[in-house]
Amino acid sequence: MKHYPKPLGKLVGELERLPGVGPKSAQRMAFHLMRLPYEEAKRFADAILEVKDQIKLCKECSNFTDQEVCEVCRDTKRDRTIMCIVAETHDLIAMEKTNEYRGLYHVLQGLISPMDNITPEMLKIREIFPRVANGVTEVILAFNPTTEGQTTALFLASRLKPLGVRVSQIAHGLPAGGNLDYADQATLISALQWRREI
Amino acid sequence: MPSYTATALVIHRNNLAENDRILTLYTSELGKISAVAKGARKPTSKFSGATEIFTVFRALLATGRSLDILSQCEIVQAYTPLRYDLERLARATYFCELLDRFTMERDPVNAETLFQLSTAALRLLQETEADPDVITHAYELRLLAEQGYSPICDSCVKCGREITRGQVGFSPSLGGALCSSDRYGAEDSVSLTAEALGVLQSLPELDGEALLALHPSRKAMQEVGRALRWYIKLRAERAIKSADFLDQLRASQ
Repeated sequence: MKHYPKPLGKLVGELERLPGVGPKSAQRMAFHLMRLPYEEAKRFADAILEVKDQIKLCKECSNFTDQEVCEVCRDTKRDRTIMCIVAETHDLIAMEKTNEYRGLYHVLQGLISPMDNITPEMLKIREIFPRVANGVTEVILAFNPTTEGQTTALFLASRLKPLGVRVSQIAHGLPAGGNLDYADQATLISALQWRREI
Repeated sequence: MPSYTATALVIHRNNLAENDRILTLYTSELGKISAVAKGARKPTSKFSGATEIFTVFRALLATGRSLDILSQCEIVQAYTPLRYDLERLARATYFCELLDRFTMERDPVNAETLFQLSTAALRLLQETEADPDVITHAYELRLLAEQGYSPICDSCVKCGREITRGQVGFSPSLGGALCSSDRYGAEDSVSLTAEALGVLQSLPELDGEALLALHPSRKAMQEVGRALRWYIKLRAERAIKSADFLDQLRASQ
């Protein structure tokens, strides 16, 4: 950072720490921020601090929220007998965008990854059980079709099924608009295994 | 950019940038290598299924400046049944971590043997009649033997006398079994029954069919498991993280 004036170098250094941002992108962003009018730059800085100050986990579903209980959990029109468990808040947003699902959610805030030392205790798994005991009859596991997603799904199924709740997992297979002949074998095997009668 | 083909087992992967993955591959030709699979995290990527842990594929790789680049791949074996059984899935993950820990990058010595050993272990783990503990400990012992870390189990590591059956000990720090008179002679010694010692001695010698037919007592396998866990941790010079999860699953059964 020796080529930059000290405050600019500090900003470039901080931006470089963001995921997927290299030195060149950090420099471009820093110069852009530097040229912003003071009010705009302040708004940007305040937005970061507001997120840090106000965002917390929903005490029911562990989704990110600025209130005690998130908007989804507060919604009285939702079906409280079905709960969809997702890994991250952005997965919840993706499910919401479908406009197909009207049940509750539970956000684990990660997936079990033994190799990376992410164990079930580090995730919001313990919080699921009192919710299931409170009238949930079906749990839908909606995780990425990866080894970590599958490990988490199998782990949760082994803990939830003995409670007498119906546990299902979203289907894995070809993406909409995909090409059968371009799909890899693992995806096709998965698509065959998750096939359904029409 | 020069390119080469290899048969590879995915033993680790990390996310890179928005859509890419860095893969740690164990190849039968070059040993352990790292490669980038560009766009592997996009849902429509031709790499998305192949870049999952313990998948075996034939690959065309381009030599890069720091990391090689995965250009094409075709899955040879996905070990799908392992992905629908939590305990076997955890064991397969453990095999990959173990192979990663005990091998160096671009060390082709033993690469073919270790590749065959690891894929054979995954294949055996799929068999429903197999005792998963037998397959796991056989893999651990064979891998250790191939890398020169085999524990000494036929003679006492303290006095050198041949070990006769009976209650014996095992010291991870001394590197193997202790005879009945020396079995308390090391700070870290754990006790082994004659059956457990027999299992430790015979597992590295047995082939696939014989391993499938082997069903030792639960107590013997617990003793073997405990001795090997400490021994491997000491030789790897760090904990094998996926082993803790495996322990947790075993404890909850």
